[in-house]
Amino acid sequence: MIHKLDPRIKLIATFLYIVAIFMAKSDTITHGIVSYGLSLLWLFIITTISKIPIKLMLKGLKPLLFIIVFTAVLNVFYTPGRVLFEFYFLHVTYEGIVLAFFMVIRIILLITGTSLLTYTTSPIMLTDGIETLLNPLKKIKVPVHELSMMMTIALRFIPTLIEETEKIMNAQKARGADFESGNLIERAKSLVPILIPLFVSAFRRADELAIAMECRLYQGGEGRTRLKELRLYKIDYTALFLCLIFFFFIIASGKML
Amino acid sequence: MLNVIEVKNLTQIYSADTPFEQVAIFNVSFQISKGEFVGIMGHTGSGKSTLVQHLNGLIKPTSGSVLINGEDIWAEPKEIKKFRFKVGMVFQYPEHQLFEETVFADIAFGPKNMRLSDEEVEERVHEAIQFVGLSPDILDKSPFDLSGGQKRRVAIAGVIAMRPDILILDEPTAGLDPKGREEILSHISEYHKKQGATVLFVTHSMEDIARIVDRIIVIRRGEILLDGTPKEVFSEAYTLKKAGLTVPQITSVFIRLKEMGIPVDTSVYTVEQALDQLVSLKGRRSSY
Repeated sequence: MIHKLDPRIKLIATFLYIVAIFMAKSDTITHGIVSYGLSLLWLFIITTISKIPIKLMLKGLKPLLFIIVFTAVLNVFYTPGRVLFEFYFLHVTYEGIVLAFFMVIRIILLITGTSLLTYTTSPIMLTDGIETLLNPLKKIKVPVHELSMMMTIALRFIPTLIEETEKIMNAQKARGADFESGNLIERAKSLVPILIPLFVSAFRRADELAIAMECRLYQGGEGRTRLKELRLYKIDYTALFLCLIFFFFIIASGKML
Repeated sequence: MLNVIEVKNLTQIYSADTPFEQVAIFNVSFQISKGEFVGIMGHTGSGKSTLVQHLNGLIKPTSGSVLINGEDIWAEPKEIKKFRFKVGMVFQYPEHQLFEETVFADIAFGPKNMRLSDEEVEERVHEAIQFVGLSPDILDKSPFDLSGGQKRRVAIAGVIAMRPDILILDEPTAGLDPKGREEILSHISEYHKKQGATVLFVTHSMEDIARIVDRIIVIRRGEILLDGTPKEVFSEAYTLKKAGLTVPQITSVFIRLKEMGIPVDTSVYTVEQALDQLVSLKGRRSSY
């Protein structure tokens, strides 16, 4: 169901969600529990509806584990307040632990929430959505269509370039190139045999793509029609309404309690 | 005779235990003896490229082993480079791997990685450029200024300069015109003869390999379908068709002749053989 929502609604919803999380108050424990509890519940409901396995969502956190731990550690040690115990120059404060705890939850909520957007929306839909949302900016001469076309192409070529890199790496490895040993300078140097062929082929591809697009008479966004027109349905309005309610609750919970 | 390559129960499974699990190679075993010229054939996506990349340790098998000169290449993973110099590998579209400022430097990349002396490197570069039939004049040029066919030959020279005992070429003739193809094939044949090297030639085109190889291994869906001399393999026209491959044109002509009731041997695969047959057939006819 979430998959089928209009990308514009999903973008707005994600934006509201991010703003809500940043505005959620966590200065006291009650504030924190209420607002983050609410956000967690909200995220959980959406995840369940979208049928994205929770395991997959947690997997997305892995590469950012270091940042999460780093933030937590900094907050624990460097927040002034009531000192719980000391260890040489390190002071662990009560406020620090609370802040670190909520900070970690905040980061996790942000990452999983936004990754939900990419899990449920294809890159093309996403750029389409961004393009239509930014359309008003055309009035002030922002090349919205060009930017979104660039984004689409960039996204499209990520897997291709990864594959290309692998191929070139294998070819150079077969000629005895070594990417794993040596000091920093040697390692940086060993990247040259990969980067040059990669750039050459990226330029070649760009050329070929430009020609292919021109052959199909591409000439920018002016007067271009779409295969799939974005249209809002009842379910989109309902979703937007629910998001606004959530947003309101988060803001209100900080004010009232 | 000594087996330079021995592959035992090789299996390669990508993304094992996930919904994307894909069996690329399944329980493949074969031996190749020294000095053989082997064609490895298969439809696109049959796993032939994956298979040969196991032979110099670019891919680690999920299970099974690869032995080069009787040594398991994964016995000591840190020593894998040693085998990469023994087993030279020319990739598909090798011209895309060129990166140096001059042709000389690019061909010297492999030998330099072998930590050879400068004189040795220079000697090998000159030898390699001759092997691929290019004039030494281009050694000072930038590889990016060359034509497509020349670039490919420079890339092949870059592998030959390592003087590998075993040379593996993955579709070295793809995208070349007939003349370029003919030339590359003859240079590879020459390398095979002069160096006594073992050569593995991966391709999906019958016409390419029919007349130059001693043995053909046909891969289908990650398994060996046929393995034998060209004569044996091409006589299995039906099995080849099932694997999405065709027999050489001349063989299909003879199969058709046989179907028409003319007593010919359908295992021919070169025009010369065909001519011999037709001449002898004519001789028999006239004796009636």
